[in-house]
Amino acid sequence: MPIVFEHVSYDYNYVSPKEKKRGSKQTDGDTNTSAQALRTPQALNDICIEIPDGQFVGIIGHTGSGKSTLIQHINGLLQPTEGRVIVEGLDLAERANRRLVRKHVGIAFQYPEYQLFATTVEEDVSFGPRNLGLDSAEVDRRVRNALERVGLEYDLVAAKSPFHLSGGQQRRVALAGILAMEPKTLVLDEPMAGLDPKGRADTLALVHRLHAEGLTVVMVSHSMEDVAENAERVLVLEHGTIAMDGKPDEVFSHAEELREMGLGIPQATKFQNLLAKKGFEFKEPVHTLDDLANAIALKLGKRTKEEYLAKAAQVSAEQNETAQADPEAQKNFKNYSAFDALTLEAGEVS
Amino acid sequence: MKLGATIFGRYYAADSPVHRMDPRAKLIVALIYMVSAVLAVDMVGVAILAVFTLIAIRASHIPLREVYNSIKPLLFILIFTIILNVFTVNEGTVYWHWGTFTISSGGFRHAVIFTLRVGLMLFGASLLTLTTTTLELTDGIESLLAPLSRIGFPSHEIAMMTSIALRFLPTFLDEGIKIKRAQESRGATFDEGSIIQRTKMLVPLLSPLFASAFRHADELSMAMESRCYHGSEGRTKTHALKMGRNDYIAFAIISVMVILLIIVRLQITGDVGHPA
Repeated sequence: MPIVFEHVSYDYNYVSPKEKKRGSKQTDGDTNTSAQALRTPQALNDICIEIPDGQFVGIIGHTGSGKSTLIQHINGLLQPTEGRVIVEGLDLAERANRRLVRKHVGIAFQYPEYQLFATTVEEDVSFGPRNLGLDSAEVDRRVRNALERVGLEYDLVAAKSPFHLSGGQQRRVALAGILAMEPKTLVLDEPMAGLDPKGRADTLALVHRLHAEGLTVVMVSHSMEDVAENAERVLVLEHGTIAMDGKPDEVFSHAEELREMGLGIPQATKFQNLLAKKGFEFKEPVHTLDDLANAIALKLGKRTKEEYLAKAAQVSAEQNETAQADPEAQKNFKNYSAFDALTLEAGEVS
Repeated sequence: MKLGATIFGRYYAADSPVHRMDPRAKLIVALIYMVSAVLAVDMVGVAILAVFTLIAIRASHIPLREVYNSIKPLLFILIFTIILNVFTVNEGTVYWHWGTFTISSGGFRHAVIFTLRVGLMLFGASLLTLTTTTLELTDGIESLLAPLSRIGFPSHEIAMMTSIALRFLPTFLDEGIKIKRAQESRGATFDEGSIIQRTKMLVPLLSPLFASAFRHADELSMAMESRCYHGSEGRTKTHALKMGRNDYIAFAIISVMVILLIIVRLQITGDVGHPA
């Protein structure tokens, strides 16, 4: 079932009539906190989107454009002041539905490891399933499964205190805590923030695997590369409205508009533009390293496009076979297959 | 957001004689006000207190409504005062009694006077925080406590700790909300279930909050040390505090109020020997 936003608006300073009657202190919002009003004018404004099952959506937008506010509507943490949000066929205006939907939608906030609280990893990861009121055998199965999915060994970490793990491992434990809810949709707010390159690669590979398993993924990111490489669809947020909505290729072809919004374009596209200035132009727009490598190889006239693609596919297949035995390699092969293909080719030529 | 309500209100920006007062003068005046409020034990005393409180609020250019809003979270204290007085004071005509509990005409009279008195004291106190930024306030406290530092009292450190604590309140509020939402996303409920269940749910909320407090403390101390902070010794101020005309006027007004209250009080004691 898709995630549907129908004309959703959200205003931070809005006071519902019920609260007003109770005489909430919010009333001073309109008198003395004009600074606050400046900071959050209207967080969301008439958002209409539909995210079908299994889609990988990237959300970009500069700080304060409403990304975090938007994602918190997906599991009813925030309720729209106008409009409706419907997830899994449940209208989130109903309180009971908001409880239900949290089974289906898992949200990982920025720095999710800061929400860890329990004395052991096992206890922390089991928090979600226990809240769902599952029996202990099922809780245990989910905990083991979730830890395995994030690439941690149950026997090694389960009894440890989450605070004694490394930053990257803590984040994986936190993600396991969300996956243990077995959600159909995973919402990630800057999942790679503050991680080292290996941590980033691991996390990205994890997200990729989860998407491949059929999860709907919504990922907020400041990294245009991560979005370009992974997302099937990109939403650009600006002042609480959807400024652009389309495939990465379409969105990143609007370099000028993106720059005006304080956003950028992927490195690969920048490189393409630089090459173009020096008189080395490709026919098609390039947004990922993979595309870039393809385009350069093509341009250098090593092969025709068809030949090249066939070769790349063959290399991928071979790597896939070896990768079955070696999960470490499997994580990395996707991004580098094209480079490897080029290297191979260079070897053949020489 | 219920979490957003702060006791005694936040700073209310305005340009008024009260805002411009030296924080030390404001603190002293507020202190005198609070102590002298105890002198108001009958309707006349309470009326004097009310008149002067209203003068102060008027002078501060803050709408009465705003002042009322800021003490609203403390209304339960007033209700408690009413109940306590109505049921425990045994004076005048007794309407009803059960063991030590009695309802009498004196009880009602006391309830009215004490409630008004406590209410006015709250008004006065909230006026202090509404017209003074926390920075000014801690500066004032530090300056007033400074003489004590000669005998080894850490006045500067206490002022610094207070201002840091106040500075981080909104930060922790924000983080608390974030942690709450993160745990809610994992199916936690904080407003349902028995008391025991709710108490248990404090752990997933408070334990990450404490961890974050320690993290902040660590980072802040590092940042302060790297800027050579070493306590009060030899430290000077950018904005030196200075008393001015407004402050002397305020002292004069509060003195008049205290004298009036004392006169009224003496008359009562002289007449009937009323207990406090």
